Amino acid sequence: MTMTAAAQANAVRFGVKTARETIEAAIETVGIRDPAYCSVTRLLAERARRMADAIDIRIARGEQVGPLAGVPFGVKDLFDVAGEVTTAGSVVLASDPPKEDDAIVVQRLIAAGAIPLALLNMDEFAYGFATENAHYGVTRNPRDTDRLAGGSSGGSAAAVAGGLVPITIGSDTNGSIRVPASLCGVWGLRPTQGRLPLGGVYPFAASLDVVGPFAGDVDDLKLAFEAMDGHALDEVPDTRGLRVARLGGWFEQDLVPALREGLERLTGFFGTSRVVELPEPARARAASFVITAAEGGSLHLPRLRTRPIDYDPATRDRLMAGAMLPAAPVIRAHRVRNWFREQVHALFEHVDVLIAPATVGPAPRIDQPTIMVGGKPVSARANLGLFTQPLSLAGMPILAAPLAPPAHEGASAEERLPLGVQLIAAPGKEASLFAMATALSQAGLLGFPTPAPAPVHMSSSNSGNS
Amino acid sequence: MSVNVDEGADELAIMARAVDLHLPDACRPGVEANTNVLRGYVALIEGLPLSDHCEPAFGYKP
Repeated sequence: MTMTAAAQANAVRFGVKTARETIEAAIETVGIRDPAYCSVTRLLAERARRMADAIDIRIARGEQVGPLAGVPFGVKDLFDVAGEVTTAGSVVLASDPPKEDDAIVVQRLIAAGAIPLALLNMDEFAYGFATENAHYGVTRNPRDTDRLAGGSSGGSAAAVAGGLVPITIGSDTNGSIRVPASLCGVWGLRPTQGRLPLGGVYPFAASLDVVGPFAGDVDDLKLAFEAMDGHALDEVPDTRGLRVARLGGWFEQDLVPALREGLERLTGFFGTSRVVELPEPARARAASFVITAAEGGSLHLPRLRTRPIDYDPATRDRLMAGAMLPAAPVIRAHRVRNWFREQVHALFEHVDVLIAPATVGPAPRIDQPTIMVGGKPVSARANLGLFTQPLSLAGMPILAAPLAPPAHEGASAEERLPLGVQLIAAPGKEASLFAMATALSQAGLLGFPTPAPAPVHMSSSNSGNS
Repeated sequence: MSVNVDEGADELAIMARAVDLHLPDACRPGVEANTNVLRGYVALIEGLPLSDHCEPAFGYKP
């Protein structure tokens, strides 16, 4: 079983294992496991070996090597990595020159001792919730390879769930960290908008883009976030003192029973059954859609004019529609955003952490076109962000966490799939989220066994050509 | 902005021409479907009454 990042770093720092041995083991694991997942698009093996050797030399000299010493991590392929072309999941950018520098958050992880090992699959230009990429393949969910991993950071979630690396990084514009984390049964964080630098990150919808980490447990998630942030989080002394409520209304629709029960257990832990409602979540989600389409469409318009056929057809058609939006509704969407932010921030005068589902249920099957919302079948792929998109609009930090699996032995295979929740705090209050998540994890209410068991089969071939 | 419309040009083509975008035939069904989805979302946000003093969230700070 793959060790946590904390355990791997301790093994390296205290001489139980070298960084080079750690990296070689990770490279071997990727080779064995990833053919079933299609989460890795490029392996950075030679650079990782060089960096591991450098860490081992520093340890031999008695130097400090950081809290993530020798820990391999994966990088969604929209972060710059020195010596590599940043494709953002496309072939449109494939002929760009290799980057000279790492993205800022990659630099910060390296400064903490971590080693970038792999670039990871994503929806093209991060525009999707499925990681079904026409160029690089469909990333499969390690919990059940017949199911979607979610997206757009699907490779980042699957690489952790599949035990390839203990930490990965991704981006979240409308839910692209929270959705795949939830479907794959791992932890993910969308930090406060603007907290982590976006230098060296290929944009999608720049006014909504946020980057953040994935990990197999809450302690590793915190380690990764602190490294990316460059600061240790403040301690929250008494989580029992946090004012907790569950989001109702929009966030209660169509939940599978196990998810509803899990949410009640979480609020029950804090001795509350309080439910609050966000104002106009459907309009907030609509504003997110419009802003995303317009900003993404505008960004790509010059290339859509000259080489549209080089895009993934699904991405291209969304971007073209967004590029054609007139100005008035886009500006209106930004006004709705301001209004919504004020309403949501007012809620946090009376509550510290809100709890909501991340998706309506477990990962859809890859061959499943619809899920049920409002009693009607709707596109599974378009609606995986039902509960994440409205929240993106207001800029709060949101921690995605897996519910603990069912304890009873009679649960079906579908009932044993991961279900995710969102913990939401006021801007800048990541420490409250981590304190609460840690308490719920220690109580056995959050956390899913990671990594998934080794893959035993693939039911069909992948659709990509990489 | 005025748009020079050829006789028979459909609405989608007019919208594309306004941003100097040519829509290949292969793209039209998908672009039309996405445009209709966005129209639904635009209708939702247009339906929310806002004060004239509610400014756009440019330079957004959480």
